[in-house]
Amino acid sequence: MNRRMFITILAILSVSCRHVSRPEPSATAFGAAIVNISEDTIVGGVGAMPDQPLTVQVNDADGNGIAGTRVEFTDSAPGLTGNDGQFSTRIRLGSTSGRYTLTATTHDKTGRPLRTTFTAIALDYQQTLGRELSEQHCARCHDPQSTAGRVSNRDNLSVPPHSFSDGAVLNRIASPNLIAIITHGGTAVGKSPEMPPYSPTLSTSEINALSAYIRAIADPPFR
Amino acid sequence: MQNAAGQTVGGNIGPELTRVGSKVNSAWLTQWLRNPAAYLPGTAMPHFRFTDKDVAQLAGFLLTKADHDLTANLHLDPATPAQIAHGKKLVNERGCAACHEISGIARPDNFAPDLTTVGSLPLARVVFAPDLAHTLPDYLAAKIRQPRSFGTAMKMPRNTFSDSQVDALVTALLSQTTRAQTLPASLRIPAAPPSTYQPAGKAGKLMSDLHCLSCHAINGAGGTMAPDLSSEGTAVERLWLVAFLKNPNTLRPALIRRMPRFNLTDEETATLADYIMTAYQTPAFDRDEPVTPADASRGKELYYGKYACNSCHILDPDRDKGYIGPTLTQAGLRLNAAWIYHWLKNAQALRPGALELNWNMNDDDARDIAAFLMQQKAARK
Repeated sequence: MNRRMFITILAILSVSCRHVSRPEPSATAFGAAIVNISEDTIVGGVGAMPDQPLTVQVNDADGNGIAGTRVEFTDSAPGLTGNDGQFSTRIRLGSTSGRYTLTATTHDKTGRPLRTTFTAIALDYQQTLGRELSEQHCARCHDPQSTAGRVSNRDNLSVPPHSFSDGAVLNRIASPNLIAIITHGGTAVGKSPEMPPYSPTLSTSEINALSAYIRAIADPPFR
Repeated sequence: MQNAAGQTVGGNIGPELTRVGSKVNSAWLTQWLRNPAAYLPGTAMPHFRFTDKDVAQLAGFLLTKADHDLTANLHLDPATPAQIAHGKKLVNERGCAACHEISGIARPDNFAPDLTTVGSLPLARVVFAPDLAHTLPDYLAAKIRQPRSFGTAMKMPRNTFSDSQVDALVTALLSQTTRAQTLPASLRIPAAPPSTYQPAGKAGKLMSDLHCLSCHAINGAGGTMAPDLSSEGTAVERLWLVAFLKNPNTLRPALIRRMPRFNLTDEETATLADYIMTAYQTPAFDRDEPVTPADASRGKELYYGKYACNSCHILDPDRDKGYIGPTLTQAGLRLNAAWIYHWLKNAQALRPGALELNWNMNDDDARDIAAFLMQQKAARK
């Protein structure tokens, strides 16, 4: 068989395969409630597929997880809940930066839809740069979570720093002041000297990137 | 290694050891712990100079790290000559020797296709597997995810990459285009050439044996896990260095990874200390340069007030809590005044990538804080 013939046969095969529809998972059980149990908001660069999963749990009327209920996500393949009543999937972020609201849907036994929503944040280039700088310079004190490779220093400070997603506080700081705090330290606006000045360690564009990132992940959103 | 909660903890230089007891036998493990380079010359693992008792205890512990469920129902009969011949044929076919050194098997030539211009591969030349979208990114991603879906004779192994890792690999491969290869030199930003630095002489031989460069970087060569030592001789005092090499203590409380203790002899410690103090000096200033007498009590005020150094450094263990930077209880024994002064002016210039900020401090403040830190000579606890 020559190469051309082989390719032709492959092409025919692939066309015919496309018509075979895959059986979709059908529910063997129905829940009374659906809960978003993902740990954090999904954050990543535009078009990326963050490793962090979206997880929902479908519960019965008593709040216990039920296996075999069908869950549908916006823009993601549907699936059935496992023995713990949970279903996880991963999503690809949109190609425009901003906040996305995703819905997970299941149906109760009367066919009525039950929904829960997720927020995913797609970062543009500047915000992604800000995120990297934040991991390198800020997270040790501003992130209250310790990880296996990084212990949080937050509780050692006399004025605990704000988490960058803490929009309730950070949204009230005007952008020029936010940039002044990063550039000249907390004392620039009468706050704690424990926040050190990041100029000249970081350049002006890097400080702007940090500010853009802080605004992008604010919860509630920065307007 | 996995802890009791099933989370993987520890470093990423060596392999995971959660089930090492199911893999290696006691005699090999003992030899390996005595001197890894005797078995594998290029290994990153240091020659720890363990005592016989250390080796016995470590080997005993590691051999308990076994997964008995994994091997419970596995019974292998002694191999027949036919099986051995079949195994050798498979090793040759799959090209195992392209990566592994196997005695009696030659390394295959031209094992894998050249990917220099794979990003410009014309779609007409690509054989797509069924059910695959006809685009180059989809083809590359499928190749990485499931190499054998393109034919059972494919030699490329299947790696367990996450989706985002596959994404990153595909993006890198797509950038390998003919256009990128033919770009005029004036438009390119060349990568810095890799450093070939190797410490020389008797101390250099010792440093190779201890694999200092597996974790520390010196003059552009080496790892990123531990501090860069290119200017270490300017920074530290010899007496402190000798004591530290003999028994590395904890300088940075927040770090989980620690410098190991190497059971060095007094002579080896002296060789290393002499070499570090002589060869690893910054060209920026002389460590013995006099620092003008300064006001240490003003330095203390600046330390706790204006600069809030205590946010990250512990100087007085009863009072300070910040644990990002090294403890400074013994700063006066460990460091010298000229180093502290220049460090406060511009730490990034002395050790690029240091977590310390570039404070750009004025002369008076830097001198006063240096004088205050040089008073810190607390006995080691």
